[in-house]
Formats: sequence, structure tokens, C-alpha cells
Amino acid sequence: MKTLALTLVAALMACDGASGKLVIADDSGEPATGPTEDTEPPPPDACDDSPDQLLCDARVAITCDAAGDIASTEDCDQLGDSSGVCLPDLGCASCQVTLTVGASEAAGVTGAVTDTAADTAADTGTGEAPVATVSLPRVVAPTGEDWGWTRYGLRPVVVAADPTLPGLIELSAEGGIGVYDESGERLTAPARLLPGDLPVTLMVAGLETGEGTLGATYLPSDEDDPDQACGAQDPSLTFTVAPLAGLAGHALDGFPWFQVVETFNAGGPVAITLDPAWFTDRADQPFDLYAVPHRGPEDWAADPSLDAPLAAGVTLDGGALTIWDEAPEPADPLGDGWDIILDYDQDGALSSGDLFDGPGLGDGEAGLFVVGDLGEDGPFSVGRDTYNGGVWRRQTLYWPEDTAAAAPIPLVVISHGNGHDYTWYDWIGDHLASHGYAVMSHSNDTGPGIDTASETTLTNTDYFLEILDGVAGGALAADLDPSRITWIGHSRGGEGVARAYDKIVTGEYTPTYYTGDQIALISSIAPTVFEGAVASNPHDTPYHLIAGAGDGDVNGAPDCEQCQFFRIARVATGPAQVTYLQGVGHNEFNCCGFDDATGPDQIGRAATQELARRYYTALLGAYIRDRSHLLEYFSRMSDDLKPLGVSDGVILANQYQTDRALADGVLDSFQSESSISVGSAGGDVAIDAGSPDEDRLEDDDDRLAWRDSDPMNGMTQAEDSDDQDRGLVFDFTAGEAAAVELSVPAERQDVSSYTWLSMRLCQGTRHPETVALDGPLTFSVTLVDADGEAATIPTAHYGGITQPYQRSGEGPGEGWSNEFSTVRLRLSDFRADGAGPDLTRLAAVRLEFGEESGSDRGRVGIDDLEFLQ
Amino acid sequence: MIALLLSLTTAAADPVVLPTAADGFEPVAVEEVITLQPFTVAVPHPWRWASDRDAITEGVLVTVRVDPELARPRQTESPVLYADGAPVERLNAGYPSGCVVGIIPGRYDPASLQALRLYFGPPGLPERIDADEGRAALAVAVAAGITPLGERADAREALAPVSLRGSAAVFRMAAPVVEGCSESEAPLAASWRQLADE
Repeated sequence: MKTLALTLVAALMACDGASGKLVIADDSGEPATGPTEDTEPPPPDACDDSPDQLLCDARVAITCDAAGDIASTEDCDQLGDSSGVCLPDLGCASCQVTLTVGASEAAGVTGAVTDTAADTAADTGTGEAPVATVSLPRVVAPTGEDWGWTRYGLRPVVVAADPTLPGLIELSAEGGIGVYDESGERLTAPARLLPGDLPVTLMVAGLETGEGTLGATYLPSDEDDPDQACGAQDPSLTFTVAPLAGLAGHALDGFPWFQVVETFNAGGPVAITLDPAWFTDRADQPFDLYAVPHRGPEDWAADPSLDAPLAAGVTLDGGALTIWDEAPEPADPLGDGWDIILDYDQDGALSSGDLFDGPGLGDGEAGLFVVGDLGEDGPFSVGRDTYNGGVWRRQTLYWPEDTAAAAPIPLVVISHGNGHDYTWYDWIGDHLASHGYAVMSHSNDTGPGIDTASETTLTNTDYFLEILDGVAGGALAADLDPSRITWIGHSRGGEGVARAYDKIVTGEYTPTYYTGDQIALISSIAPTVFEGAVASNPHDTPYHLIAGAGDGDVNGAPDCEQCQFFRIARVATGPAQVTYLQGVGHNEFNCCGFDDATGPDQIGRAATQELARRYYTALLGAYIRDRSHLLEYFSRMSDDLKPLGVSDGVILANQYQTDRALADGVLDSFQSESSISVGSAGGDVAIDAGSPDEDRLEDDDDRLAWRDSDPMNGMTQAEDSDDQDRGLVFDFTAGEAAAVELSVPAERQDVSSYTWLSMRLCQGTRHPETVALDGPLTFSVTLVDADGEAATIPTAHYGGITQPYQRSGEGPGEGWSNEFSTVRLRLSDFRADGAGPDLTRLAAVRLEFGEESGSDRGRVGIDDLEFLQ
Repeated sequence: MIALLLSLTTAAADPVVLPTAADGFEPVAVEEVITLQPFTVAVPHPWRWASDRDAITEGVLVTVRVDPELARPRQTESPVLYADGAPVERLNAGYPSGCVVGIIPGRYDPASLQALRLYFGPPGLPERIDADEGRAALAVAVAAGITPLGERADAREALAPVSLRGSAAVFRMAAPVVEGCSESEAPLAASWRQLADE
């Protein structure tokens, strides 16, 4: 066709025989230009019937003049990158579709990039291999209703093409990404766009960790029309969806190099980082850094403006960047929330394409919290009243005097221990009242036993609510919030509050002025366990236990069944936390009980109460005030985070258990599969260590001195037939490595939906290896995927498993009952550096011990290995 | 007895070694009976100091002096103060004073009162003690030589019975006793003075 056209043109360009000049003749036969002599009538051409039109012929655009002659031609194939098509009446056009990652979400703006990395991404890949990876933080899929703020977690991509093109632009999306239009409507691939509607900005969300691609193809309106055949290469953008637990945390001196956390103590450093292996396109990209007082999602949607950057034009380049050397003191006693913004387009506003830690990444919580000294009294002056409704209805009340300002005011009930008095709890009553709680401490009938003690808790709570209009001069009547009641019990009262709740659950007692649902939190201080853990059972209510290893009364020793308070925490099915303190006795938790503390390095009553005030403020703040960031004081190892004001010298072991209803990722709880070589999830367990044994966590000979015949020496998690808590013990010695490798069953290998790997460990008291170690124990955790890819994290980054409290008694030697600590590792940390095990195909979890992995020797107890949300 | 006293002396220095029932606890008589005040109450006094929870309308308010270490309020099982086979309701801890004020349940005439044995029996939780366990404790006490009140060197007559309204009145009656013999527990006694009649 092209040859024919050219032939026609040649025919029309007759030679002037005399002059030899080339002559173009029009259809009339008259020469079109120049002198002609004896010219022949021009042959027919494409324009004969198409004056003033633009034709396509074999991908050549032919412009016809008014006379129906060819005025000009254009070979559309000469457009770059084989992108030319010929459009009737329009001429040559490019069919090249472009995909441009923009830093701005402004509609209709193409190629709106302001930095070189994004410019690189703006290279649409025409005629080349797919572009460099574009990073996306993994986000929760927008729902539409939350589009106003969730869009900030997405990156804009502008789709552009010649709007005159006929046909359609077809978009494809594969992998872990979702594509949305600017209104938040998710496009279902393949999505089709009209060229006439372009350019259009789409928003790409990273929904699953890994890779995703966005591609575009021009579909001509007539596939058989050669003029529309598009030879341009389809553009394709490759996205890497990266886990982004947050931006803020602390640099570590080894893999995984950074620890993302949510809670920081005021006055301490705060750093941020981006994993350069994941966020390759951000590595050298400058941004303006902002730390903004937290705004809720709707507030960000309404006002994305930023003010006063902490730093301008900075880069992360693989390292951690300190944003505060000293985090600012919060105005809110429970902590101020901050959102961190990396403003990549440096436009002074939060926009899609920026990175941030705050709303849009998940739950709308702030990116980080800075918490002050929780031991300081709160903002309210405290009122006190003591009144008397009967022998066992004597109560002391502490309340915030400005009830209107403090409203709604939650209720805390304190049930004292045997021989104690309800007036002995000013140390906590005043403090919590200053933070806006009403605290009622009542006379507790503990002498007969736990049944009466529990009854007193129940009846006093009822009585208080009954007489509410009359207490505190009626000040609380309008402002008390009885929907979230906390019960705190000490000693027999500590068991009494758990027993009381069990009575409500079983129907043994039905309150008059409240229901069991209103008991939002139960805390036991060194509780007895007379009734057994099954009857003194907090069930699914959030539960807390605090006790001292130096307790000379409820001493936690293996020969005292009533003293083994860990058993109550072990039956709790809701969230549960244990705070176990070395150097603390029983009566440190009241003003006036006799001095019972036993053992070395006692911290004393004043320091114990200072510490307990802080933990209780955090505990109630988390469960009653919904300030969940405060749970980090219980979920992180104490070496990693203690409340401000608690001395680093205080040794305490934290245990943290999530709601069992949400615990669907148990790898090995040692509760089923009695064989030591099979985990409770059904996977194999390979133990390369000394003297491994799996059994009930109960000291068999009721002494703490070590005997080879009692491998569970020092364990006090189980006692009677109702306690079936089981675990694993083993040891390792200097010069030898040890490991426990748990295979993940094939059907459970996709752990990518979980956030944490959690486990509890303790040192085995008075075992020769524990004695020889003489200090905290550390180890490493390795995850291995089905292809053998592995990554190892040393737990020393976060703290050590505490040495048993060096208290004597219960046989020769030093070392009190075994104290478990919870170790939680963030699964995404195993993929730091952009490599590591594939969390969708995790084959094994290996706990490694020995000098190469941590401590060079030890005796270890392990329980509750699980993946958690 | 001497061995027990020695062990108790050790316990005074180290609270954790208080003998338990498993150690074969030897019953210990109260050191002194200070007062015996029989009473009746028009409104029954709830009784929780035994597994049998029948409320009482008659009792004896007793004041005794004991070894403070036996009276030391503990959270774990503590030696139970018995009147014959019945646990005595202890109104105060009696520590560190050693002065314990309690309620002996039941009706006692002067003769039967003098036949009572007051002693510390095996550690336990009173609310779990049934009649059989009480009888067993008494048998051990008798065998150990615990003498009835009337045969003690400090034997004394009971005071004239009084009729009271109810529990509040009993506690109000006990208040000055506790204030007088257990100084550290005066605030507790003061709170009893505020109790209103049922």
C-alpha cells in the first residue's frame, strides 16, 4: 500500500520533458506548481474524493487540500517508539500510554513529580524493561467511608495518553496492590478507561506484602484496522509493598537494625527509619520531616496542612534519623500522641505519596506516644470521705473534687487482705483519684476465708452504687461512670476479687446495681490461691497480677499451694499481664502491714508504691481509658521499657498474654501432644539440648534446691489437678550450642497476617547452669522458610530473661521460684534488609542458645510459643 | 511445748517458717483470758466462721491474750482460734499486741463457759471448718493438755449477760476493749464506734 501510494505520488509528479523538472499536477490536469509544458492529467489519488480531509492509508496520514489533492503526508510509523497510529481526520497520534507515579494527588496533573526518585519512576518503561520499584507501605484496604484519610497511605499514579485516540486503555493490576479512583472506588482489573477522559489520577494501595504490578495497554477501536495497530510497549510499574509497622523507634546495633515501638518516655530519644531494602526508591529522596500533635483521621482529612518542620530536605539513606534527642513532656498525663510525616513532595501538607506514621496506616492511632511520669499525681484535687453502712460496709472514698471536669469518672474498688485495713490504701487511692477515678476501699471480711472475702467485694460494690447519691455529698451521682469498674484486691482480697467475678459468671451471685459486663479490669496483688485457679478465675475479663519475689507471706514457694499466684493468671482467658518484682515483699503494697520482705536488695515500701502507682496508672489507662499504647509497659521486656521514674536497677519480669479468643496462631503451648517431639500445633519439635523434658509446670518435690529427679524445679504454674499448664525445660553448657526447632505445619505456614512471634521463658532456679550463668539469659530466634531462607534476631536487643531472685530458703542455695518473661518479636523484623524468610511459607521457628546466640549456658523453661495479631 | 516455743521464737525472727498443718501443729492455749461477756442479739449476727453458716443470736465476746506470732495476720492458712470445736470469730488481728477480741458462737451458762477450752488449733480457713473438723481439733487439744477455762490459773467469771440490738452493737461493745489492749488497732475500733444499729 505504501509502495502504491508512493507510486501514485510519482505518477503525479510527471517529468517536464523540456526542463526535466518535476511537476506536480492537480486533478484538473493543470500543473499545480511551477511551469509545465505539455503535462499529462494527474492520475487519481487518495484525496480525489476527500477534499479538505485527513486520511489514513497504510499508517500514513494524508492531508488533502480543498482541491482534493494531497497536500502533505506523514508517516505515522516515524513517531518514536513505534507508537504511531493514524487516526482519520486527525492524523498521526501516539498510542503510547504513560503511567507516572506522582508525588501529588492533584487531579489532572500529569508527571507531577518533584524529586528524582519519583522522576525515575515517571519513566514509564516504554521500550525498556519495567521501571525501578516503587515502594508502597502495606495498608488496610480502604473501605470507601474512610477514604478521606486512608488515601494518604496510597500513591497516586497518573494515567495519560493522547485523548484523541479511539478505543480504550485497559489497566491490569496483579499482585498485592489495589487500584482506586480518586473517589475511593476500587477498580476491578482489568479496568478500562476512555482516552478522552485522560489524564486521570489513580491511587495505588499496597495491600499484601510483596510485589505488585500495574500495567496499561491501548486497545484500538478496530483491531483489524492496521492504521490503529499500536506498536508501543505497554507501560508497567512494579510496586514493592513493604511492611511498615511504623516509623518511630530505636536504632539497634545489629540486625534487624531498628525496633519500631509506639511508646516512648518523655526526655528520651526518638528516631525514625525506613528499611532501604524495602523502600528502595526513598533511600536518597529528600523530605521535610514533621512531628505533628496527633490528629484523628477525620481531622487529617479536613486539614492536611503541616507547620514548622523539624527538618527540611533530609534523607534517611538506610540509617536512623533522630527526630528528638529528648522527647517533649506531654500535656496529657497518659501521654501525648504524635503523628510523623515525611513530606516527600515538600508541599507543606500531608498528601498521598508522603509517608507517615499515624492515621491511615491502620487503626487511626497516633504514630507514637510520649508518656510522662505516670507516678506524678494527676490534675485533680482529691476529696476523701469515710462512711459506714455496717460492719462489712465501711468504706473510704477518694474522688476528684472537680467531678464535672473529671467526668465520666470510672470506679475502682479496693479489697484489702487478711488483717489489713481498708484505710491502708491512701498511696493508690489518692493517686488514682487525682487522675480522675473514684476509688472506694472497703472493709473486707477475709478472716473466714475467700468465700466471705469475695462476697464482701460483691456486696460492697453493690452497696456503693446503691448509696451513690449520698456519698461525697452527692458530688459523684451525676458524674460517676459505673460502666467500667476495676477491682483491685490484695492478698486474700486479691483472690477474692477473682473469686467474686467467677461467682457472677457462674450465677452464684447476681449483683443488684451492676452486671459482670461492667467489671472491666481485675488486678490481684500477691493473691492467695485457696480455692484453686478454676474457682478464683477472672475468665475473660482483662486481668493483672503484681507480686514481689521477696514476699514473706504469700511467698510463691513450691511447698505452699496457697501461695502460687501465677496459677490465677494462667487460667485467665482474656488479656492478662503479670508484673513480678524482685526485692519486694507482701506488705509493701499497703501502708501498715508488718515487714515481711525476705531476700536481698529490697527496694522498700516507698519505692514499691512509687513503682506500683506508675504501673496502675498505665494499666487503668490502657483498659479503662482505652489508651492502648500504655500496654507496652506490660508487653515489652522490662529492660526495654519501664515507666519513667522506675529505676533501671529494679528487676522485674513482665508477662503478657493476649485475649485467648484471638489466639489462633499457637505453635506450641505444650498442652496437647504429650510427645516431646511433637508440638501442640502438630509440627515436629527437634531439641538439641541437654536434659529436655516436657511436663506440667509444677515443682515435684516442693523444694527449690536443684535435683536431677525434679526437672521442673522451681515451677509454680500448676499445682492441683485443675492446673494443667505444661511447658518444656532443657539446659545447655559452656562451649555447647543448643537449639529447639519447631516445624510449622504445612497448613499454617502462611503467618503473614500475624504481627508477632511470642513466647514465655524462664531460667530454672538453682540449676548448676543457672548458677554458673549468674545473670540474665539471652538467646536468638531464627525463622526459616520452605526454601531455607532464614533470618536471626538476638533477643539481647530487648532484654534478658531474669535471673531468679537470689533469695534463700526451701533448701540449700539461692534462687526463688522461676519467673517467666514474655518475649515478643515483630515478624516483619525478620524481613529487614528486604530479604529473609518468606512469611507466607514459614517452615520452622528455631530458638538458639549458646555463646554464638546469646548466653553461653543456662537452664531454660519455655511455654506458649505462638503467632499473634 | 518447749520445741514448739523454740520454733515460734525462730518464726519471730523469720516470718516465713510459721508451722503449717502439714507440720503437725501442736495446739497452743491462749495465754490469758481477760474478759468473757455473754450477749444476745435481737437481730441475728451473720456467722461465716464455719462451714455451717447459721446466724447466731447468742454468743460470748471474749478477750484473750495470746502469743503475738500466733495472732500475726497472715494471708495463707493461719492457726485458728477455737472455743472447744468452734472457730472463734476474731474481730481484730491482735498483732503486735497479742490482744485478741472475738466472738464465741452459741449460748453458754456460767458452768458451760468454764468448761470451754480456748486454744489455737491447726492452720486453716475457718469458713471451711465443719463440725467434724472442729471435734477433731478439740480432741487434739484435749490430748495435748489444753485445760478448760475453769481449771486455768487465770480462771475468771463471766460478766453479766447483755442484750444487744445486733452486730453493730457487739462491735461497738468491743471497741473500747480493743482500744485499751491493742493500741495500733485503735483506728479500727474507732470505726466500730460509728456503726449504726441494724
